[in-house]
Amino acid sequence: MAGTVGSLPRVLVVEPAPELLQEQRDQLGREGFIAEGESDPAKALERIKLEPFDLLLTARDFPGPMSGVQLCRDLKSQPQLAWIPVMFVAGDVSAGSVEQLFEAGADEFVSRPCPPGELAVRAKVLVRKGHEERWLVERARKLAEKIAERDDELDDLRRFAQDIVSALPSALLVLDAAGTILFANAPFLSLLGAGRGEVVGRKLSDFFSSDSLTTGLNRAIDGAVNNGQPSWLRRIAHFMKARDGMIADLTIAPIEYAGVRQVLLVIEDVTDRARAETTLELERSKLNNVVNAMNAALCLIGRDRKIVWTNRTFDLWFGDSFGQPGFSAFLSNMSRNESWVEPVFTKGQIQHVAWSVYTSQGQRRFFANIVAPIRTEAGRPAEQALILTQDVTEQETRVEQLSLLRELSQYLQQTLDVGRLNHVILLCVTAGYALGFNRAFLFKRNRQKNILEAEAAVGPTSREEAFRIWADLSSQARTLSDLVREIESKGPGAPASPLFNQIQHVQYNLDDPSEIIVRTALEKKSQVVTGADRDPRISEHFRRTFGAQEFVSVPLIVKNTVVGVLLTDNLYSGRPITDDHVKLMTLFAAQAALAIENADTYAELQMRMAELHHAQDQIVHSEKLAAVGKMAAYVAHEIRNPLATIGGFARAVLKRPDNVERVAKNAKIIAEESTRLENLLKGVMDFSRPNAPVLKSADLNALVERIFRNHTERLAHLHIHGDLDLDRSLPEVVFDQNQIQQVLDNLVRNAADSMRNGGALRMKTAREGDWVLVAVTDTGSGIPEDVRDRIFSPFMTTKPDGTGLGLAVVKKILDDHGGKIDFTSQVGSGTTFSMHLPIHRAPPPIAAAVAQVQKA
Amino acid sequence: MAKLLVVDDDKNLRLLYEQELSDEGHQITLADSGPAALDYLKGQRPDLVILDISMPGMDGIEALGKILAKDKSMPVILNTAYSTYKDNFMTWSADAYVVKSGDLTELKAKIREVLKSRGLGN
Repeated sequence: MAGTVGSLPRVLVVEPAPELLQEQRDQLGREGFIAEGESDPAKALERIKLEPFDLLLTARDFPGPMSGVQLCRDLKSQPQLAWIPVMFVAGDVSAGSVEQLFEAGADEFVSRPCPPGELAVRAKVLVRKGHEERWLVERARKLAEKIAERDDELDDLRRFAQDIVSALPSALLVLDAAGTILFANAPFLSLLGAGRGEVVGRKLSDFFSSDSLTTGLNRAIDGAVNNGQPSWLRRIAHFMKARDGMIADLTIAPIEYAGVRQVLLVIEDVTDRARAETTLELERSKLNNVVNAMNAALCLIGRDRKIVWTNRTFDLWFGDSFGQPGFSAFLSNMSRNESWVEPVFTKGQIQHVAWSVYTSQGQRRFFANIVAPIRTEAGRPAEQALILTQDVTEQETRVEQLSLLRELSQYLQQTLDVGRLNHVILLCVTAGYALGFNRAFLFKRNRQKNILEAEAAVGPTSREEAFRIWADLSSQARTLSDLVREIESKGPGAPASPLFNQIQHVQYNLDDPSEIIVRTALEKKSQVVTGADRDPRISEHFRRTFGAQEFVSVPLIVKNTVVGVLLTDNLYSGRPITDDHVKLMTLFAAQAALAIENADTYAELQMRMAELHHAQDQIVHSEKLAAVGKMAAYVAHEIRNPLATIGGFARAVLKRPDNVERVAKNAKIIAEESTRLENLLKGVMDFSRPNAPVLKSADLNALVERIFRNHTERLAHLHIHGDLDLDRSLPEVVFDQNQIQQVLDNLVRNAADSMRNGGALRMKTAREGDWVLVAVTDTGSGIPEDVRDRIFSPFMTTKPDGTGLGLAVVKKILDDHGGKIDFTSQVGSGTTFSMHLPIHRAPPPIAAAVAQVQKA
Repeated sequence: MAKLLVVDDDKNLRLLYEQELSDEGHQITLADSGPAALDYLKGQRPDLVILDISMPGMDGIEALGKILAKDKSMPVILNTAYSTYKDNFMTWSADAYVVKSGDLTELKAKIREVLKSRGLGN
């Protein structure tokens, strides 16, 4: 930007004559100007373009091709510089030529020579004028810029508005008062499937096929135009090309443009919404029907426990019971407390609760309830609670029936007492609500006699007793297992049953198919009778004996063979027997039949067992005889040697009584042999004597230690190293001191005998589970493999002077103690005998039996 | 006088036979088991073997078989506490079968008889 503001004005003086140039610069300089000089106008123009000047002072004529007028004209032709005032200073200028100067754009002319102050005064005036002009020019330029900006903004706004209008999903129209379309947006065009050119200028009614719509629309447009009245219509519109039956919302609003009333018409396609609304309405009414018709009671309660709403099922089920006082009253009528509702309100938890109620007819009904909080706003405590109550009696009954069968089959696995089993089977049929018959009778088939005979019966004998039982049942719900436990507490066999006493002699010949019980067995099919009096299948005898009009008779079949018949009725309650009951009974009968068969088999098995026991006793007896024979042979042999020796030497003595030395020698041998005979006798006695152990709780370690000490000296003599390893934590054990000592003595002696050349013997005690162990280990010759399976047999020995009874006695003693004896052995490296005694146990059966015999 | 081998596992019975048969004028050798007897017979030939049957390890019947396998002509008297062994046909191959007794008369008689039948008796 040329020119200066606020500082000294700058003037460019253009004058070819140097002295004149200097004089003018001086004059101006004295008056507060910064006066620059230039002699060539072309150069002056260049300088003005580059430097800021507030005023140009120029001569008219110059020696060069460019004149002062030309300079002025060039300057004024530059828009940026035109404001710089130009003052000509010239002498000898005619009026016409002054005119020419102003035409070229000069602002002032001063003729030379001029009075000294004149130039500066004029110059100052010009500078001020110039500044004013420059400000105006500047201002005009800025205004022009602003206007241009506004134009841009307006363009943007227009585009913006156009974008909005075209982006609207609604069809938009502007109409004039006569209904001619002035403007239509893209959605409207696409609605019609027409170009803008085909729409603008046409009447709106051209595009609707419905007269009623056109009429209504015209009225609305009139209202808008004449009264400025907006209106709203919903119509099913039939556009020429749009989808038929479109449901449209039409909004008609008066607008004013450039002082003219026009109408804005907005067409919205609400087909989907309208249909959704209709569907929703439909659904809602359906839901209402469902809620009312559903087989669950619904009830809405407030925080104050007042019932707010119920469905029809609730009313049907609980009817008057709730009424005005509210939910608590309802619950108390149902003998329930409402503590389970509390968490729904306090914690917003969904609650599940089930209860059962006995109806006045003795029927038990089960209800399962779900209580859910109802909130009006998320995060806030529940305002209400919805209680959904389902009658699950059916399911519960099924569950009960299943668990009945399960419980029964479990029980049947446990019990083999035929009498009690029969009773339990009938209990299953009568107790509980699974089958819940009033009475049940069991007939069993007697194969020998070919009859069905009454075996058991359960149920009341009179109406009074029946009602008493029901009252009991409803006050204390007892499960089958409770009842079974009760029976068991009364001891073995079937409990007394007055009902059974009434029919215990009833029996039916299996050859007589006229009896329904027999028919059931023969046909292997359940028989349901609903009117005994009119039913030809029913004999007079049966009618008199049982008296029920309605009953079911079910065969008990195992492996396609009838083992009995189950007869049940509802004599007292008169409850009809349903197909369900019969089905379940059949299912149940299969189980029961199996159980009866099991028990019978078991009973037979027991009988067979007794026979077997008897046979076994006989075998044992004959085995004993065999053993006696074997023992006799053994004894004969064992005795024959010493006897022969004794006899031989005795005869030798008799023959030569004088040979004192020989007599002494022979007598010594005789004595030895008689000792041998005594030992033999002792062994035989030990084995054969029925010596019951005298059982006392004692310290086994002490005994083992004592035996070990007893043998120490002898062992040392035989070059056997003894070693004792006692488990000090050993519990006290019940055993016979003398007998166990005999066992251990035997084991130690055997061990020593196997170590003819010395070795090591170790005695050890330890606890092993429920047993205590005493082990005797040697490093001897070991037990030859071929005799290992016989070492505990009597009369079996590998020793030249053995009786063959030592280990047999050991085995017998441990058997009597309920203990065990076994061994491991390695030929050439040694043997370990392990003796086990039980820690906790009842006295061994033999010992107990013997003790009993002895007491007797 | 004959050379007799007495085989018995019973020590005192051996002593008895040694004493009594020596008195008869025989020369007695004792063996306490079948293997010991067979061992002796490897180097010696007695005139008669008196063999016990019931012995631990190798019994008299087994020993008899082995003795006869080596020398079929060896005279053997079986001397046992059991009479039952008489039924065992193996015992038939022995020259005599004598049941043990305090009275050695029968044994002595059988010894004489066997020795005589073999041309050794007097």
